[in-house]
Amino acid sequence: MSAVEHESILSDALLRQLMAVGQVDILVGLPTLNNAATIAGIARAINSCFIRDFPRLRTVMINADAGSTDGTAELVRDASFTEGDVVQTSQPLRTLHRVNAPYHGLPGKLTALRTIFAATALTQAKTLVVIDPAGPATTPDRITDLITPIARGEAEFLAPRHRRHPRDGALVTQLVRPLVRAVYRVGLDEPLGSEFGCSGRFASHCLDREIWERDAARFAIDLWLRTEAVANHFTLGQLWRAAPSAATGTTLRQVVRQIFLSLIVSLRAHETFWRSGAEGPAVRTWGQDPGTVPAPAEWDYAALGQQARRDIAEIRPLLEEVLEAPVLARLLDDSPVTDAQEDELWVRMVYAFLVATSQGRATVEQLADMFVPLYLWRASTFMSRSASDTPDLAQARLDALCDTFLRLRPALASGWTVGK
Amino acid sequence: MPTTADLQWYKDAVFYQLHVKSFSDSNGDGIGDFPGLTSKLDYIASLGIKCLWLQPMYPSPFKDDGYDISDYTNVHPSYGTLSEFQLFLEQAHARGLRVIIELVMNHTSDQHAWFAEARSSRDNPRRNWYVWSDTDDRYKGVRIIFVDTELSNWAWDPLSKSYYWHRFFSHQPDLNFDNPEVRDEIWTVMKFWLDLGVDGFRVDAVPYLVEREGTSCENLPETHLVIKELRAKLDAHYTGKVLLAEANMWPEDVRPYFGAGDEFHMSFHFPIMPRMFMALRLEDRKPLIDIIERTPPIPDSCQWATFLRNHDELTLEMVTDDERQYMWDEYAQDPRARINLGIRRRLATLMEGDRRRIELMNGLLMSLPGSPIMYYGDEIGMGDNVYLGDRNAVRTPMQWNGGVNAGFSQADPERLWLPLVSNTLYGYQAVNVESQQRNATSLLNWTRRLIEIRSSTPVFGRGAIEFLKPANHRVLAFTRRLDRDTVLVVCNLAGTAQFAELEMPSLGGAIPIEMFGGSIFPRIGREPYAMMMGPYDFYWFRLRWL
Repeated sequence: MSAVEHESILSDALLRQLMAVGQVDILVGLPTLNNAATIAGIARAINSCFIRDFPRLRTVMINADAGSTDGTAELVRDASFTEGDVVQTSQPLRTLHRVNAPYHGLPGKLTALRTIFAATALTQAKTLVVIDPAGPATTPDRITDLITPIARGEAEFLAPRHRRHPRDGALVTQLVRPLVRAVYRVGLDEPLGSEFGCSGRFASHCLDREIWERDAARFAIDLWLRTEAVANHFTLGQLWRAAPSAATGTTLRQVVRQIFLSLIVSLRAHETFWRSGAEGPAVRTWGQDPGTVPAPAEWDYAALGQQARRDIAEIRPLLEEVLEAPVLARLLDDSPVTDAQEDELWVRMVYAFLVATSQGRATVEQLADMFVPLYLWRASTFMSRSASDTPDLAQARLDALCDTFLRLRPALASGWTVGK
Repeated sequence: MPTTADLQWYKDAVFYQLHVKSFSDSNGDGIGDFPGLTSKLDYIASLGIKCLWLQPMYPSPFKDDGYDISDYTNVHPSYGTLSEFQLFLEQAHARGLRVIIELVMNHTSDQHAWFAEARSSRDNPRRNWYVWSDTDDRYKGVRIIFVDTELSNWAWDPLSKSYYWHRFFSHQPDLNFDNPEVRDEIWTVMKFWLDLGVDGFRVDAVPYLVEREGTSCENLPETHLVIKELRAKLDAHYTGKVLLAEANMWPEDVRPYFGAGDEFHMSFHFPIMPRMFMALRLEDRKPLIDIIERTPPIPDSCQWATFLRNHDELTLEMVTDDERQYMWDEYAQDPRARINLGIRRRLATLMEGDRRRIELMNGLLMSLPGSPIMYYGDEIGMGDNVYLGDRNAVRTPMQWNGGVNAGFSQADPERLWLPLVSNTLYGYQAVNVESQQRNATSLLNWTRRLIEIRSSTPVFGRGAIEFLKPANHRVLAFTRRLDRDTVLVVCNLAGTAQFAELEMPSLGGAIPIEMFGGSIFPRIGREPYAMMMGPYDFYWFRLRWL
């Protein structure tokens, strides 16, 4: 590897492949890390999608592997696309390109994604779709559904939207969704998720941003992409998808912490936008709403809630530095309160923590650690209160929470210190 | 309020020079006019042009194609009325087109009312508006500019029985800028047009404003004081306007006309122009590199104006005698093509109709430092007519289509102010806008694409230039850099395929993306970068570090 190559995110080997590919219309990016179990099927599905639905367009599939040790990259490279494997209604008119972008530089998802974005810019792809190899089963239709609105110019960023049971996905429903909706003034349902479609223009825009150099970006990138699209007025869309399965390999505490840090990354990056109070773009939805609501996952929220209360009591002196006295008092008070009062308490705590990060009262990492038991308390409280709700009633709680986040938004805007 | 970037719009703009009388005739009198020009604004805007430069449209006896002005605050009736000019201006602005007009301030026509008064009596209040002498001995040794027609810079006026000074034709007496009334009047003229909405002036014959005994009567300090005075008034009353100097000098002699950013915003870089033609013919980059490396830095707010051809002869003043003879031998073997110290031919004929050479020259024009000025008709490869007098060879009517009068006019062909070019190679039947609009690969559409790509980045208008000097002298290569943007330009000046190795250690790691087609080229490393190019090929590469 030459010295100049080492400084680049694109290896010479990848660059040579991209030169051979040239300009494309559609680029499907496949960031992988130890996905041997599913990857061959995904690669075949992408190939099928190209042949069946976009036979005249210039396409390329790029596997950006983040350092797999289970042979994932080799499986993609060697996957055969024979007639028996795929449903072909027509022969491909064009050469189908399959590019392997091996591990180069820092390992991880962020590097893989950045490589895909760089490839998008170099090939001047009009449409980029990034597939999550750990997501629900990938079929040609799923890929086509992500490509089509972008290719038609009807959206520049397309995020999956899931029909969840209102008591599922608490991290999204209790924190990320209402916060993003309120702060960015956008009706986005799923601000998180590894899978998306976007225009080449958006990819080039993101490539020039500083996010890639930030340490926290390795898990903040999914959220940042969506909020970046909002803050820079790209046309947004949502696509109905089956809900993803829960991530493995990380604990709930780790996930909460990462999400908190992700929110900070986005808020700091876009503080000019959201502090202006500007409305985010309208969000159109494609696909069919599944309609049926899957049964909620079962978990021992009561035990979690008790642990959370113990943790909160333990860090009380630290919380006194962040929360206003009345807010802390209410948090520590076991007296019954209404749903609305509990929502307000939660939202005030969230905004107080976000403001604290901007004021440098503690490091962001310290605040993230402190925030975890607060979230766990909230999640368990919500689950308890909604235990006997019908899905519609539970959904109504979520809608009310969104309204509370929006109503109390000035607390964030006025307390936030710019540029910290 | 315009931003700073808007105030310096001239640094990014591609200009388009035209003569109203040659562009489009709306009333069938054989002379182009403002309503005709207005009807063609969509076409001009479609080229990607951002500013029009109109040649003189004032009342004039037309002994010097309008550069002999007899009334500074009106429009020649052949071109229309002031109202029609105003409508044209509004419509141009509505399409994002700015308009600059001529300010011929060095001299007037001898038919101007001021001169009529000045010569009527030595006691007339306007006597001192011009430069008079009882003898023709003053300012001895000052060069004659129109050597083909003038024997002296003094002309005898039989009415006032004295000589008057004229650096150009004898019917163009020089104004006396030592007289503050003259300077005030010129400002009044400027203000008249600025208040109508024009975006600036191309100031004709700037170096000659003031005379002093014992000097060359060119580029005197007093001339700069005049310019500074006018510029100060302009800045005090208007924003976003531009003054473009015509000073046919060596670049170090033109430099003073920018002042400290308090004289002209722009000035033509005359010496670059013949050297583009020389470099091509010699198949050697040396003339171009020499003149650009000789060009001094100019204030940040200022800009060079570059061009390939214009309404005048391809001037060969700013070259050596050997270089002039070379240019005549190579480009003007027909003595009819030679006039004064130049060549009165258009770009297409100078390039012998070779599309590749025409493209290369335009590629150079658009990528070298400065704001490029295109001459009307060059975008379709119009030819010339050396059988016409003076510099009319290159001022023939615009060729819009292959029909009657090339779509320029409904008049009888005999009535056109100049005949159309009608030979088999460049005649309007073969070379016209309509046919090229319909051909996706025409020179017209290629030129549009060229301007579009140039306009996609501010690097070309504002970036610094640095030459690479590969061993192969037939290959001209340079970078243009502005902040984080870098463009690499590589040109094969030869009519044969060439190979060159470019040493670019400071660009190591960059990925060249060819700007016309988007193709990715191999990454630049520490080893020399091999380039293989066809005859007259050129590349613009946007460099990306990823």
